[in-house]
Amino acid sequence: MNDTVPDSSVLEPADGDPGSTPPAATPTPTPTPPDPQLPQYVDPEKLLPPEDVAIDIRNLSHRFRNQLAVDRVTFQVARRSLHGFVGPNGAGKTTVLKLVCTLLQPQIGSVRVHGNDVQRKTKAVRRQIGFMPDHFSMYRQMTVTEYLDFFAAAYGLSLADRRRVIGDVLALTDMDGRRDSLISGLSRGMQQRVSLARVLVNDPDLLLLDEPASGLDPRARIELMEILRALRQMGKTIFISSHILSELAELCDSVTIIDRGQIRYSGNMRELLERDSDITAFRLSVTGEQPGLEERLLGLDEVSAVNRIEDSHEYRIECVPGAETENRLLAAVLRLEIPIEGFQKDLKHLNEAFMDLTEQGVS
Amino acid sequence: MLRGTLALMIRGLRFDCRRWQMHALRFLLVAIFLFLLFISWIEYVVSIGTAPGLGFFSYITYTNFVFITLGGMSFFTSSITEEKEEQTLGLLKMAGVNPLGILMGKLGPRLLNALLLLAIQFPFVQLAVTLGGVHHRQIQAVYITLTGYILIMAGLGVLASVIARRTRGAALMVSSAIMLPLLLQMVMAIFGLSGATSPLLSNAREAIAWISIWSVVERLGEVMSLGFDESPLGLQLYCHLGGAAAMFITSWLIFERCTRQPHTDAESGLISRRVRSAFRLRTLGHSVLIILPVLIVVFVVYPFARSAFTGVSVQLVPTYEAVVAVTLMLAVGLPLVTTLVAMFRRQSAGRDIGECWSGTRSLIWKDLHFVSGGAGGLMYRIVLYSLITGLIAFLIGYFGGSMSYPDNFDWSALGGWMLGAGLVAGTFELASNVGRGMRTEVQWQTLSTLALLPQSIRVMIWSKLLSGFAALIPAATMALIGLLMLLGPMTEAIVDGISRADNGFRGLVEMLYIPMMITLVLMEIAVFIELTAFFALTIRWGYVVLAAVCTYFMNSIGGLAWSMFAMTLSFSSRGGSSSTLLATLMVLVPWIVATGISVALVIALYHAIESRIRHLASQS
Repeated sequence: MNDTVPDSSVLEPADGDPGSTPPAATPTPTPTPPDPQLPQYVDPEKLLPPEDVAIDIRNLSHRFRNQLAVDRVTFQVARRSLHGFVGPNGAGKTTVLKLVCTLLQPQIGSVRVHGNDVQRKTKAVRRQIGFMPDHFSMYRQMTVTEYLDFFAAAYGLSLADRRRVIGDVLALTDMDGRRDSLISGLSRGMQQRVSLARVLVNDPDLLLLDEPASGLDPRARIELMEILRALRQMGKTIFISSHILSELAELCDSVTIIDRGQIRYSGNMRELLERDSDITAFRLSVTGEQPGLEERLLGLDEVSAVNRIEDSHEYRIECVPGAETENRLLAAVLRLEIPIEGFQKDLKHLNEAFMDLTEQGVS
Repeated sequence: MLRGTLALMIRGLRFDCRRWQMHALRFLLVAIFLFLLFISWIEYVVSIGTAPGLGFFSYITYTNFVFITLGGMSFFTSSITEEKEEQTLGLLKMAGVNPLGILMGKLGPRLLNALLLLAIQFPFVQLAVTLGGVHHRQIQAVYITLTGYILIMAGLGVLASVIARRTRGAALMVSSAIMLPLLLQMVMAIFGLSGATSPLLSNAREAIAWISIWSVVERLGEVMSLGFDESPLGLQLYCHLGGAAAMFITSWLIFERCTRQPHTDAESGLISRRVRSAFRLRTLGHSVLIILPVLIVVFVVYPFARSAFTGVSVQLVPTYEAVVAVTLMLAVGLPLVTTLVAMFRRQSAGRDIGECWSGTRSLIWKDLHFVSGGAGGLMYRIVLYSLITGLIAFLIGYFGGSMSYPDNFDWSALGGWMLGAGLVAGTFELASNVGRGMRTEVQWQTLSTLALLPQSIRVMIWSKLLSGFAALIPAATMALIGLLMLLGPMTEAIVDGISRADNGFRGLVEMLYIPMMITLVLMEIAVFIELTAFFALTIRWGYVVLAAVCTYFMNSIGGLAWSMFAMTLSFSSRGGSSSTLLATLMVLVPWIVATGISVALVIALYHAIESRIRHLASQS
């Protein structure tokens, strides 16, 4: 977790809608918001200061003929953060991304990118963003260099800048060795890298990535995530829509979950994984087989239940809630003098949170 | 096999039923028939035509003929290539459908659709019998001829579709197969070869006439002539049936061979990459500068060289030979010189960076290189147009009588042909390039990426048009040289017109008549280009053809309205109005209306294209 990233957990699910309220979502009791545009479920106290906001979406709705794709969506994305955007198929993720990147015009509500309204200052917004769609939007007859050179030239970069930038982005995406290859001859993973390199040629502050890892093999996916981490360290804001929840949980500082056009959660990733849990649980890994360990652990005062994880030397320990539980439990475990490999808080998986917050079936 | 074929056919029919374009096509056909009925009625009312039924039926017949010809170029040619382009042919083979099943399953729905379109007309055209001038037997004979024609076009289309890798290539093959005999016939007719006495030439003429689609027109004319009382099943039907069967069987036999290796973008990409790498715009520019003085030298020196080698007096050397020598020199020399210049060009690492033009012009660069073929495409066109010029010069010179170097040559005839060929080819080339520019963006799903560039959608549209113009340089040069050759006669005509015109308003209109018509033609070309661009964003293939049909249709309506206006004015002038004023009005009013409508269409289509691009960009 990047400590410098401002807290963007501002939202709780919509109140008063039994169908859409996730089971354990407790709406924050707030006074009437001073901003009339702000929905009631948003805590104005938690709103980020304008200088820390990369994307500010307020009350956004968008309809395609009879289908309400996005319904009164409000959330913020902090600058220099890696913000995940998760939802089932047809939830409205791509529509929100297209609204942010100016491909669609908001019908109701507003979208601001770095303070610029996407409808009024479209050109300024376009210069600040790099959008990577969920499909290969590429000129397959071009070489990698020709492709990047075309986009760099279209952004009006000088020849010297083009040479420098193209060299840099090729190095960053590890495509330097394939600079003269035809795009049509590249593998899917490589094409995805070239697509990412294209997004970076105009050095945008905000990257909007729609399913960048879909269809990639595990190695290509891991490498892509490494590149994204590197980009975040360079100070870019990354707004990433993805289905690969395990990787998002590791990668992102904050997350927004959308289902059927409505926001189910938007905020800090850790808070999402910790919330709704009335039991404090820890995960203990030990070296080798330790006979009778389960019983010894159960004998500790702090422990209420112990479950051994199948086919492993790991134990899930549930504790009686109380002050400084973690420290007290660790001290007690150490006193048992067993070879410990790892001890960490057992967080909820993003998958579980996602399943809790979203509904069955397609919208 | 039957199950696979049926599955393919049902899928094809369902797909066609869901596509609005197919319904629009049928609606267009109905609109055309109603329009033709209206024309027949007008002709009858003003007593131009004596048999309204025959007039109505003739119009419908020839409209069907045009539709079938265009359908052959576009509708049937995509039957197999669309599977190749979508790389689904392998899946069909893996599903156990054999080549014959694929051919029948893919061609079947198209053929059925085409035959149904023809069949549903049959009850309605019986109206022609009631209107008078046509017999039932003639209607049967015409529809049997047209059915045969559909079958042969389907056979030709599917054969081309099996051979070609892409629909564009297949359409080009069919167009060439249709146009080449027609062109040869035209050349023979223009230059008086039809009555040639040489047996070889006479046999060749007959063979060309037999394979030309003109034979269908002749058969239709024969059927519709007065007193036709032969069997509706003519020899031509059997030939068409035989030809269609032969082409279908050939398609079946070569199917595996032609589709064994699926075509990939990478293969064609590598070839175009090599061409692009060798021939760059700068290299081509240098080569043109090198070869131009050589061409002038060839033109001046040729008669003397010929005289030296053959002993013929310089004054007796035909001028056209010098022109042909120059065009051949250009056609052969330019690729050679360009290759040599490319070999000596400095190669450096990372040379691709900086090739693209900067800013807004980057879009023009992209389309010029990756849609219009870049320097390689320009060179190909220079070679093609120089060969065409050489051929025209040869035909004019060889069949035009005695002419000697350097003065006695019909330069204005050559100029006229060059101007005409340059304008027609240039218009279609521009439409094709702009259409392809739009189509490839839709096909490659790149509109969303382009729409996010700092350039507006309007800049994108203009860039596509400008890249099309840049690719037009060879055609434009040909037309310009033709115009220069015509400058003398044209100046004389203008001076003559000015001197003959009186000082009144009519004189001014007479003087402005040619510029007015040129303006109208240019507006029509603009409408045609915009229609092509719009259709390219809407349908997958046949957009140039459809735009041409629509432009022709609009042109016909305009022409008819103009004639009706003139007739109405003539009738109303029987009271004794001033003939000068009436003649002026007959020209001026329709011109103002036609220009106004054209301008409105150009503006409306421009906005429609912009809105369509915006929509597609947000959808992709």
